[in-house]
Amino acid sequence: MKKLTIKPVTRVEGHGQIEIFANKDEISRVNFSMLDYRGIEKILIGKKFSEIPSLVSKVCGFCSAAHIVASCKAFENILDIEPTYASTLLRQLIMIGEIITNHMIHFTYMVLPDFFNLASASQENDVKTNQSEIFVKASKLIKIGKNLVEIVGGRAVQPVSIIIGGMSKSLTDKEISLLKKNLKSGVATAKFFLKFVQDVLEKIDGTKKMFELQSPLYMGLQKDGAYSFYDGSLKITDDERETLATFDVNDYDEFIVDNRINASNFTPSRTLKKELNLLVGPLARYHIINEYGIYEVHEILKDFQKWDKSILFSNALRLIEILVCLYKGLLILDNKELAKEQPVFSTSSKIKYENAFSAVEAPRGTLIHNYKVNENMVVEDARIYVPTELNIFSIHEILNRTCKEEFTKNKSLETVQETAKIVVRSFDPCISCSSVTLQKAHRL
Amino acid sequence: MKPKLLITSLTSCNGCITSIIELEIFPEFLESVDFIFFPLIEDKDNIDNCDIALIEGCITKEEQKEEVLEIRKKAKKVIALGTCAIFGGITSLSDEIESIPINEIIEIDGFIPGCPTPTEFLGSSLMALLNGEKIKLSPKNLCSECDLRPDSGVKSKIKIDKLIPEKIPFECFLHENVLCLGPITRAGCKAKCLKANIPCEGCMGPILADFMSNMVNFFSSIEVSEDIKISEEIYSKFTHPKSFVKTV
Ligand code: SF4
Ligand code: SF4
Repeated sequence: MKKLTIKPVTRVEGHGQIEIFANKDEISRVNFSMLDYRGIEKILIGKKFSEIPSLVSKVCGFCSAAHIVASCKAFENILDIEPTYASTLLRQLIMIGEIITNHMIHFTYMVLPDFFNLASASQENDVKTNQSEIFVKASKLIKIGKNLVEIVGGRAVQPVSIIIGGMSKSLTDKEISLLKKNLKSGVATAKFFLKFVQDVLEKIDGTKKMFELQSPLYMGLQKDGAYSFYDGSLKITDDERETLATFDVNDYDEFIVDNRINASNFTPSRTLKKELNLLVGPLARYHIINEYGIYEVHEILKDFQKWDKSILFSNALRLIEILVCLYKGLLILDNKELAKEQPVFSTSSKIKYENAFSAVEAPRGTLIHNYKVNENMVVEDARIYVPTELNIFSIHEILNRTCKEEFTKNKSLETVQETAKIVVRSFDPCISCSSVTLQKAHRL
Repeated sequence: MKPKLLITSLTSCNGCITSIIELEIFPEFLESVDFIFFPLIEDKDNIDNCDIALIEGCITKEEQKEEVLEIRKKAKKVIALGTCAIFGGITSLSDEIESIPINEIIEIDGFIPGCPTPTEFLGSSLMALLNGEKIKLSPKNLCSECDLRPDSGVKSKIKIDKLIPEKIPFECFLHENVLCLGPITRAGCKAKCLKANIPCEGCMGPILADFMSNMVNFFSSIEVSEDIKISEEIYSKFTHPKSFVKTV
């Protein structure tokens, strides 16, 4: 038995490791493990709940807004208060900015080099020659997202204006028109990248494996069947788009088996009694919704449909989401309520429920926060389920299957290593996020 | 010749490195340096000789100690990037792991504070480093950058009983009974939180000495409600060690 270790796995967020166990003529097992532990969940215990949003903003520097919003929403459930409509619009703007920067950074710096290789291995080098033009275009989109978070959130990373009960900052007319101009200018760039990905996928198709998933359970947040990252209910579908369950996040424990306790080899649904792997993220969001709510996007999607079970399709979907978010952001900025809004602070401190959940769609997938508080408003227990934790069994399933197939075909451990890295990167795992906890699921 | 750079992260949220990637000058920055190690975006996986090493995050594992010692050997200049690296950061609140700032293990040649490091300051610090200059840290406190309180200095009769404001501040937060750590925090972020109507929680760290002694002095000059005084997160959100318990 030979063991190959890839460490660090470059071009993923955080510290990860891939181990490949090989015999002479077959791969027996491939492991992906995350090496960081920061234990933020435990840190939250004993803290006043008003401090939690600021503390959880330091779970992950990439998707801090998703964590802040999730924690605020959970405590708003606990207090049984609702932020104003315009506050929710401002929060969504921040989340839109974060989705744009996260997806674009992942695409540009973590995926693109693989795409260049995949494409040039199959055909000529024309994509490669455009590299520097592509970096400049990508940095434009990153800047649009960053400015959005910074202007609405007060800071570009770990925004501070999202507070329990509302928003501490509103937008001036000048800021609104500046942001509109910015978002508008991003549309053409997002479309350019979509065309680019389509070209690459066409080139790879047929010559390379498309890394297809084996019937996972897709889960994500949606609102009346439409794309939603801020609120709505959770939905689980199979890969025939059959809805298996729709539920409120407060019933989370009824539907999803907690692997930290149950130590099984999959993250299944308890109620559905299906022993399948859960998948969250752009691909799951695509499968659980009927519409993104933007007509033009659905026209573009038609060109991609044939790849819709391939994990590589996630890379196109991230760009689709950037486009959707640009349009959605523009709609929000046009909303008259926004201009009238004043900052909203909450003074409520009466606890209605001692235990509450919340869910948002972080850039990498469904993010669940759950808090238990005592009558002094001190946190007694905290659970944070991050997308990468929910995905871990799907990652392993496809990682093992594709690596084994690759080895049978090529007998080259080197290509197996490359394949393993491409598969892991396509999931865009977030190891900082996953470092909130260290449980069986992470160690496999 | 392009300067050789290494950027790595230890135990962190990656927020400071994210801030680098999000910099407007990042594409030009990429062109003007040679990365010998930057695992987040580069495939090279060997720590090699370099001119400047930027280290984000604190040390929580033995192998990270070895890593920073190795980097110290290979790098002409080692810079601590962000509050985790220089003070220990958020994991200082943990009972399970010990967060060791890198400067406890190796000598450093400078630091860029902030949790996360504020954009403009980060950009100008990186430029300074590339030009062979020192990072310019402000000798003033944050109040000097704050519009609510241009006069700086703590006035008498301040009574603090809130951590989160309940309305937009009309004057200095301290005069509205809300704790703001501006007076004991280094300027450099352009008072970002204050501009969003949120008091400063001190992420840039103190100008002199350690967090704790500053905090103790500050709290002895104002009146602070008991429940705030005993909130561990105010003292250790950004810093190790927990030895303040003995000092307070
Ligand atoms: S200093 Fe703050 S933002 Fe930077 S890595 Fe540490 S926790 Fe993240
Ligand atoms: S105002 Fe204070 S907490 Fe906010 S970024 Fe500046 S130093 Fe950090």
